Amino acid sequence: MLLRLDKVQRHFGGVHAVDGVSLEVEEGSIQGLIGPNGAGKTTLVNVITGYVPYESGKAWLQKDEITGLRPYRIATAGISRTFQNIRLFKDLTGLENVLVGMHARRRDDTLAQLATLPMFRRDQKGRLDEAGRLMETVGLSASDVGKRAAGTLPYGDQRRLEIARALALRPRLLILDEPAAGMNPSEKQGMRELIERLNKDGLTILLIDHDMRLVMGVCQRVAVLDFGRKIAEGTPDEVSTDAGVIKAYLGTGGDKVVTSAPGAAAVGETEAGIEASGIRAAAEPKKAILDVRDLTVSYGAITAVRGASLRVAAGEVVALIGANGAGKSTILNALSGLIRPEAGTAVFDGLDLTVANPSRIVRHGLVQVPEGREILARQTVLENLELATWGRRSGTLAKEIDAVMKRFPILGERRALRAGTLSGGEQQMLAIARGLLAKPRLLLLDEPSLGLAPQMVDEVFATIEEIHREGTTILLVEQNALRALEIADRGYVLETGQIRLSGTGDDLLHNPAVRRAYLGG
Amino acid sequence: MDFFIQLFSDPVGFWNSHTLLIAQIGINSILASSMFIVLYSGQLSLAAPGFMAVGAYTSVLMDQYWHTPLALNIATGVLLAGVLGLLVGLPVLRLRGVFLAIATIGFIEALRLGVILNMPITGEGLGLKNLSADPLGGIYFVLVSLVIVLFVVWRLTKGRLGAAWAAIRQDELAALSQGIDVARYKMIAFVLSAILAGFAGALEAHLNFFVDPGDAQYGVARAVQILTFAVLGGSGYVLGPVVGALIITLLPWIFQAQGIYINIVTGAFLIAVIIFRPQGIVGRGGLAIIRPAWWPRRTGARASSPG
Repeated sequence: MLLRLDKVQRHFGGVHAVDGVSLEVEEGSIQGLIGPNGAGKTTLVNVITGYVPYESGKAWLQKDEITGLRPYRIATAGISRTFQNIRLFKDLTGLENVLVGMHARRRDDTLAQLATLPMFRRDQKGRLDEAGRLMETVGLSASDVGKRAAGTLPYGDQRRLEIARALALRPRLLILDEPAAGMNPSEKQGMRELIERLNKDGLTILLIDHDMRLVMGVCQRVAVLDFGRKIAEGTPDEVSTDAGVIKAYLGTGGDKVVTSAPGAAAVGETEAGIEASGIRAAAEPKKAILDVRDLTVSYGAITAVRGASLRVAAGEVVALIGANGAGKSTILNALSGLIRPEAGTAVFDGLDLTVANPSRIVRHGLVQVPEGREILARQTVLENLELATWGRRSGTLAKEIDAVMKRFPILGERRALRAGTLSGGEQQMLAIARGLLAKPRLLLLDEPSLGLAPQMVDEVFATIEEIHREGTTILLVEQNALRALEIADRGYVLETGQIRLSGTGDDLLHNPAVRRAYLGG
Repeated sequence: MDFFIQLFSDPVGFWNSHTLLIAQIGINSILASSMFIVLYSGQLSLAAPGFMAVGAYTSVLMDQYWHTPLALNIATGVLLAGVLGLLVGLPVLRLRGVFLAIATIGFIEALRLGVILNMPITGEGLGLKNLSADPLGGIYFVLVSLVIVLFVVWRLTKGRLGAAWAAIRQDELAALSQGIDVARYKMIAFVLSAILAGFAGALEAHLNFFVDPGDAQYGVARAVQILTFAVLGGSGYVLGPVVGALIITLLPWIFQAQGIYINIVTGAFLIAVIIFRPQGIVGRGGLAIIRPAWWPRRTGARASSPG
């Protein structure tokens, strides 16, 4: 046993980020760690590597206890890591980055430096050679990439360079935090080969990633976290057919759905499902209020959305579903004018969304309720709502706010409380209420059920259906796919930035390909 | 113009008539190196004038009361500055960026207003007379010291210490993940910087017959001037802040005929550098450390040998 965790616990405020997780990583293995968004994976890694203190629980690296050691101690003890959002030394060259990784085992040469002793130059030559070899190991050219500033490298190379730097510590355990995030399929394949090669050379790896194909493909064992707890552990096959895991990923729908989704893997049904959805996809509405064609959006070197097309007709509820990182929020942000697409068109009721500025888009009736709610925590509920009407001159504003408060009685009751003291569900209600005050004709909802307890999820979805009944068109982005499809007229399944499937809500509900988009396979 | 004409036509005469200016450039260059070390390790510290004061007052007072030799006086001043650097560093190095800058300004003002201007032994607001000053002979000592300081600092950035500093400057969390004891290396940089500032302060006192406790000497104005050396010259290479110090010290002399307009010229020059060369005249670094998030980032590929 190389790494052993015993009931590790960490809360942030009232949130159980990591709640009593025990885990063992076998020497020489690739251990996977997966879980839906907010499950606590990165927090667990941060606790193990000393960036976040333990609340309780212990950890051992072989026989040495590493509980509560500072991060640099843990690094020198033999646990090396990469970061979810790449943390290279951007202005240093590739080789310089790798050289930093050798710090701990490098002889202190400060005095030799002052005397400019040849000893230094000999050592430095040895280190440079080793850094070059490490770069070649991860597939980077030391003579080209090694001489360029790390911040200027393409995204995939930065990921690889970060691994080379981590290897320079000569770790006993390498923790990779989403190494394939934002990569295209061929880069992902390369990353998979690299991970397998490193493991074959004897390195133990703890792999966290959202890409199920990658995790299920390379790991010998996989542990699944949800709401900070370990809900399953086993071989990839065991985990991917575990009912609890499927529920954690696809969400909790009605009983009918939860029982049918895991069993839906019958082969005949699979083919029929895809066929059927293919046919209905052609039956998209002819008159659309929102028409998106071949939308491509990039963040720097990362392409988040590749040529997505979708249409929403007036009066519809359309669900946009897909695993974490599939590009759902990016599409919504592009429609709201918060980021500009690289290519493609998006027209909402005659307004070109790719050039209009965000406030113009809102006034035209396209309103987004952002992921994570983004309410003003220090302002009261009433102030939050008043700010939503800021800049509008109308004598009826007070009445509108009253009407919204009647519609969400809980907000009326708490109008004088700071918004930050509301529960997650109440905050979501506030965010939706704020969106409604902008008089939307098309409401974009980004993950309205994120992080909510089950009965709050019910309430939020009931609210969404009500808003729809009152005549607002809705484009809904959800990780809780089953739940979203239940109330949707139509749905689109997004995978690595591309629309893979589309069809009616019912159709997609029973389509096993949906499960595959989430869990791989 | 007379200034440059004399520099080239009559170097010996220039040297004789501008000794004080040259010595001041040397001292400011040492201060610039002190600033360089903290910036190179990613810390926006403005504490240098405080440590200068410690070096200056210690050496002058020792000379007055005990008549000890100059070398011992300066060495004691430098040592005290280093010890004070350690004591001040323990609390303030928990802070980063602008917050560290504010805390260090608090330190220098507390030292100047609270201690120096209030203690009979420091002459309070009147300052100290320094009868053993040697303005003309001191210049050789200053220049030799400068060469040694620059060499040492340059070599330090090339070794394990410098590599750790560079990593910390770029990303503290990532540096931790590479096994670097960030707190320790930040402290080493802060104390080294205090030692250099104390040394410059002691040297400067040795060149003047009067130790002036004013704002322009040991207060915020001096701190900003020293920061300007680094902003102007760039904080990525040892020579950057030194070039900044050279320019900032020379400008008032070159344009002295223009009287008070010199401030406008200097200001315009600074703004021009910040806009057109935010990384500083010598390059790499400069404003990077205090640049606001909305400032356009210039990331050209940089080819230099690693080390």
